[in-house]
Amino acid sequence: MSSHFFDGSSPKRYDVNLDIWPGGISFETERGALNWRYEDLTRLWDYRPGKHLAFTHRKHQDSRLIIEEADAVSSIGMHAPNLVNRGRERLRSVRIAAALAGGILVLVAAIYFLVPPIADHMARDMPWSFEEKDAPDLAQLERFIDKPCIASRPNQVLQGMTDRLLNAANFPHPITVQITDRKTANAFTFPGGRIVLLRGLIDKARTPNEVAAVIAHEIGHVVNRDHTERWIRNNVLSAAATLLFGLNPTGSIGESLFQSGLALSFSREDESDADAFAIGLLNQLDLDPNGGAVFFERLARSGGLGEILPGYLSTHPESEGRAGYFREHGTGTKQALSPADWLILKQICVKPGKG
Amino acid sequence: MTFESSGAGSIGTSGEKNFPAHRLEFDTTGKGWLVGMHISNLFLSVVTLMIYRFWAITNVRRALWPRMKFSGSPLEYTGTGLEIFIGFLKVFFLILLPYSFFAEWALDTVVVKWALLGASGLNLIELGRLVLGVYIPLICFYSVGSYLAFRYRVNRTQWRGIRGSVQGSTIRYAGKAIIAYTCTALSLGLAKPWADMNLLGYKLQNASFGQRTVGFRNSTTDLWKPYLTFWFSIPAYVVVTFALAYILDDNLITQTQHVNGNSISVKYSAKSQDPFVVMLSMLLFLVPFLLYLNYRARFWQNIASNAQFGAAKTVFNAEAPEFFKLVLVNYLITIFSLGLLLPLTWLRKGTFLARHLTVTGNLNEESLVQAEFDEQSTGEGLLGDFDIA
Repeated sequence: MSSHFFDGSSPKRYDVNLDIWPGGISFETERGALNWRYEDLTRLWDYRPGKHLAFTHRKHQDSRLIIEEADAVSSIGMHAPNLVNRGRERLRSVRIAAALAGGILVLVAAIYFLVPPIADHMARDMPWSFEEKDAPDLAQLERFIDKPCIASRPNQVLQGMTDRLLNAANFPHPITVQITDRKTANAFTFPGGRIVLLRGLIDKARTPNEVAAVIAHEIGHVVNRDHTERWIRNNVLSAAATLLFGLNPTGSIGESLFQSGLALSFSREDESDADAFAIGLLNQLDLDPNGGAVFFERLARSGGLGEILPGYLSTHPESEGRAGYFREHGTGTKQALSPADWLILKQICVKPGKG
Repeated sequence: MTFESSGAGSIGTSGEKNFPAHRLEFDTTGKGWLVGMHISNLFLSVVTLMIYRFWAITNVRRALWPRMKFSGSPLEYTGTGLEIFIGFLKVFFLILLPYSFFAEWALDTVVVKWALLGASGLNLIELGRLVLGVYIPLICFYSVGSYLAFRYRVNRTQWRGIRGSVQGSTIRYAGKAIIAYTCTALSLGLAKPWADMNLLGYKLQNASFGQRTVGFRNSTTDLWKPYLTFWFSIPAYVVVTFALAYILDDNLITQTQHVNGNSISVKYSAKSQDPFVVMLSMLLFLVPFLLYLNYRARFWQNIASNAQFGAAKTVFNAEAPEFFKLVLVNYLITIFSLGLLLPLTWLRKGTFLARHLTVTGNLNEESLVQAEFDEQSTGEGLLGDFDIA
């Protein structure tokens, strides 16, 4: 147990005798006498395990003074308690973590509040060709959505209804609406203005306005440039997630939760915006909004995964609320198709000879 | 030929008969404190969405480095969390973000087409785009990160106030890595010993302590036999496992699969799902695993025997069974404690290193002097903080 000194120029160990005085520590080596004042000392808290004091000098941070004698340690503690008491040092970690947590809250809030409007603005300014190049070849998707229904007269009826909605939407780029022969009741919007309704949706619909409301909603996604907006948002979220969680495999759970949580929230906003757009379109054409409301009420009763999951885990807003929104904000009174045309549209996927 | 010039040894005052051996010592006291620090690090990392990890890893290094004593004095880690965080931000904004856009462009146009149309749908230009856009940048990114991480750690390590440092060019290291990894991939892994030795050799040849450089001679002579034994054990394992399942089987199932429009009949063994066969194949897998550990043991022995620091030489004497015991017990500790007792595995690694690494020969402490501080290294980039470098 002795005090020793390394001068920082070579690894030579100098055993030293200490003179501890109220203002500092004096000791002598072969290279001369040194007087280190307490205010110039930096404590090396983690120099090594075990009881000791290790210091370096602020002006020469490679030098090391190691003090092991118990009486010297207690003398220094008496004159300069901050160099011995680690209380403040221990709180450093908590202070750093608190500052980081504050910074992260600001970052997440900025992402939550600023990214959607900025991405929306940017998406609308992006050339249409950017989205068009991502348009899928529907033939390649047949495995998932089946073949388009090609019955001639029903497709004319569908086109007529779609044209009226598109004229009201006044979107400068082409949008196509197709129905494919799959029994599931669902609808998709693909990049490049391609809307696909599955046959199940037509089969289950009781009025043409249910179909009109769904098409208007999907047109809303195209007009709002949701595909491009989602692409921008996802890139920002992915960058932010990597910034926070890094490439560490153990951080991947947190990264997934962070990304999915925000992405789901933004997705629900997209759906609400598309609903608002659809209501605007229906009102403009004086179409009865009850079709949309009935559609969402049926969806709510269907008990699908989206209805079982808590709201924050869903890609879409809660269906009952959406139905209420349609009833509350819709002002129209008319049906989108005459009863005769509606019956024709219902036959859109009936193959020749089976009707 | 005289006895002296024969290489059989020297006689007289010029010969060093009793080489001083400098053993490493590793302090394993204060396990509870270390576990407490680890749990506190985990908690603070979770509440800060993992950003605290830079400070957490610094806390761990500051706690572990000093436990290793060399010639009675501890190693010191002088890095800070802020430095690593700044290094990470630099790499993130200057390398990772541009790379992710670049890679997305390449993947978007090439890999998607590849997935849809198969390899025949690709032309050479697209393949070149994939290699230039994804493969080469990925290797550069990983290898530069690895080199920067190594440099940072050595630069922030001190012993008796003397700093370590690493010179050398990161670009040159990246170039070596591209060649090494490509050769390894093209040779189906056969070139790995050469690649491993070449890359680690470059790092060591550029490392110094004080003003004294670490001497290192690249040599793979002793590595080929253990590596090839491991390499050939992989196909042997596959063949033996399948053969066992086939021999033991009394019930082959035929299944028709459709691939690219063609129907293919595939026979597979019902025994392949049999718990006995599964257990047997897992046990057999220990053979290539142990052979790989044997290669790693030889690799580190080789590294140590080819390294020199002034007149001092290093010897590493751990064998494969000892490596296996270390890896297995550390794995079990980690799994059964859900990672909470991870510090115990660090202590075991430190003890293992101290037990098996010896430095012999005169360190010539009088001639070991401090080097200028390298201000270039301010962080570890992306890899160091994850300890994969």
